[in-house]
This record gives sequence, structure tokens and C-alpha cells, in this order.
Amino acid sequence: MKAILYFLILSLAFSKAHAQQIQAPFYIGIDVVKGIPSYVFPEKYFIRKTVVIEPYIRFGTQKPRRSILISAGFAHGSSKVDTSRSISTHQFQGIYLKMAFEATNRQIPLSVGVGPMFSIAGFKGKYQFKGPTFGDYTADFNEKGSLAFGAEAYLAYDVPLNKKLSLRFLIRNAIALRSKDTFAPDYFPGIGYTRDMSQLLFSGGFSTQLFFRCK
Amino acid sequence: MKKLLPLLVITLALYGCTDCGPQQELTARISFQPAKDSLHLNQIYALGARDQQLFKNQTEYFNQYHQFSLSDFPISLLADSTSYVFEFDNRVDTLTLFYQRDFFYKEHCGFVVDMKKPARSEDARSTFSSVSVVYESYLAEKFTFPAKIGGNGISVNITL
Repeated sequence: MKAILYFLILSLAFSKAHAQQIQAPFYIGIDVVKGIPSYVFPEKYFIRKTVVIEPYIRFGTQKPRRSILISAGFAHGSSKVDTSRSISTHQFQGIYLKMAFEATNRQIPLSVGVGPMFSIAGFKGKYQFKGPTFGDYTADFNEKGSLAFGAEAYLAYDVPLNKKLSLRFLIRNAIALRSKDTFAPDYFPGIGYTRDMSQLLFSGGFSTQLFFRCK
Repeated sequence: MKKLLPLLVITLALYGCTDCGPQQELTARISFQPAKDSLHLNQIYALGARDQQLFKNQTEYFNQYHQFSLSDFPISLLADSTSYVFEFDNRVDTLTLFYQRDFFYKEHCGFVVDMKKPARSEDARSTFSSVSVVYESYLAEKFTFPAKIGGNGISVNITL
């Protein structure tokens, strides 16, 4: 928890310092894709009924075409039931913080960003062993406060919708280290698909974000 | 990328080597030594079992071949002991097998179940003259193709 606090304070101090100095563009945004496949293709996708709320702020710095992005995310949902791993139910919940230093191309609205990320998540559910003769054995698992520290990089393409709104299509990749490896979840909040990754998490994906320019 | 390829192959090979054990109700192997040819078994049953079919099969097999088939005796995952009753023509014997259940999460397997030697001193309680139990993990230690080492689980040797 201390680490989150430090991260927040640092990020805020950093953003304040910059925001005060210059009249750079300032955006707020939200992810509009993550979590949706879990409702649309619940049978095929690896997670289901998952709510992912990931808001952003993005502001320019003193240097031209350089900006800073800060996001905080929340994910809550369940993983696909995996009987091959004796898992009969599996829910997860997590919060995460991300920060990125971003550079934009001069000619085309293409940006690259890279920065640190931090996620804290919990996983719980039931596991079961079939017992045709004596009866099934069912027990609970509950892993709380699983931490992951790492970095995320992305490549983004911005499409303006009107004066204020723009859509951002991006591919992202995250790499993170986990504090404990007692349970490897299929999905780690803030990182993505992490099946069979016990300590080193490496994942990525495609997403779309909607940005609103405040000034 | 070319340098990474052998690493990927090794990773995949190692992945294939992980033994997850049965991941279901486990069984113990019971052998009779020596079994008299004239001995006729009327029935075997396990206390608390919902389904006695496997024990019926063992009874039939025993009466034909004078030993138990290798298709093993189920042991309960719901308790740290399982009791069996052997009803012969002229005698009835009981066998209570003790063990310690071990459920844990294993990488690339998910949750697995294993059995350990019980914390108490006795391995089994029985009316048979002698019973010896060997505890081996149900998860093979090494799974090198084509043979595996270990993973045989609990074996019981009974002398009538």
C-alpha cells in the first residue's frame, strides 16, 4: 500500500509541476474496449463478465510533442472455468496504476509511450477433484494482495472525431514481476493474459480509448 | 530471434515434462501375499463409499485370479483414512488405511492432490496378520520421455 501512495504522490507532484508552468493540451480519457469481449464472447474469451474501468489523464510537457499519461484502473470479473486445472470457479479483482512518458511523431498522429506500472490484485474461487467412489472434494482458494511491478510500452494512433473528442487505437505490452507465485491466474488486472506465468508476467493486447480535450 | 528458438524449444519440452498426477480421486494398490487358491471372496466394500461398483469388480477379479487387479482401490479425498471390509467365505477382515491428504497449486497443472505418510505412527489398522504400506508421491518427480520416475502413490502389501 505504501508503494501505491508514493507512486501517487510522485505522479501528482510531477503533473502539478508541469501543469503550472505551461499551457499545454490537457486530455481526459477512458478505455472503451477492455472487458467488452468478456460479455460479447463469454464462451470463447478467457475472461467473462469482467468490468474494466480505466480512466486517463494526459497532458503536454514543455517539450513539443512530449506528453505524460497517468491512469488508474480497476478490474473485477471471473476467469473461464478450467476443469483441466481442477478449478471450478475463479474470480479476480484488482487495482492498478500506470504512468507513461509519451512522444508523438511530427507528421502522423502516432505516439509511443513507456512508463512504470503497478498492480495489486486478489484471486479467489473453488477447486474440485472428482470422486466417483467417495464423493467430490471441493475447497476454496483465496489469494489476497498479489503485487506486480513492471513497465508498460505502447504504440498509439490518434483519430480525431471532432474538435474535442478523439479516439486512440493502441497496442500495448506489459512486463512485470510478481511478489508471490502461489497461484498463476489466467488474467492479471492491469497486465492481461498471464496463463502459466508464475513470477514474470509478460502480456499485451489491443485497445481503444476515447479522449476528451479539456484545454 | 534465431537465438531465442532453442530456448523456446527447451521451454516447451520442460512444459511437457511436468507431471500433474491424477488430479482426481486417488487409488491405492493392494497386493495379497500369498493368496490361497481356495480362498473365496464374497464381497469387498468401503465404508462411506457412494458407489461400490469398483469393489464389486475387484471381488470378481480376485475370485478368478486370486489377486487384485491393478485397477486399484479408490481412497477417500474427504478424510485422512479409508476403511475397507473384506468378506471371505469363512472370515471377515477389515483394513483401515491412514494417509495425509495434500492439496496444493502446481505450476502448469493447476490444483493437484497428493498423499503423504500420516503424521500418526501407524500406517494402517487391520485384522490381517500383517499389513505394510509404502507411501510414494502420486506426482512423478521426473517425467523424461518415455519413462517416468516415481508417481506410484500408495501401495499396500497384505499377508493373510
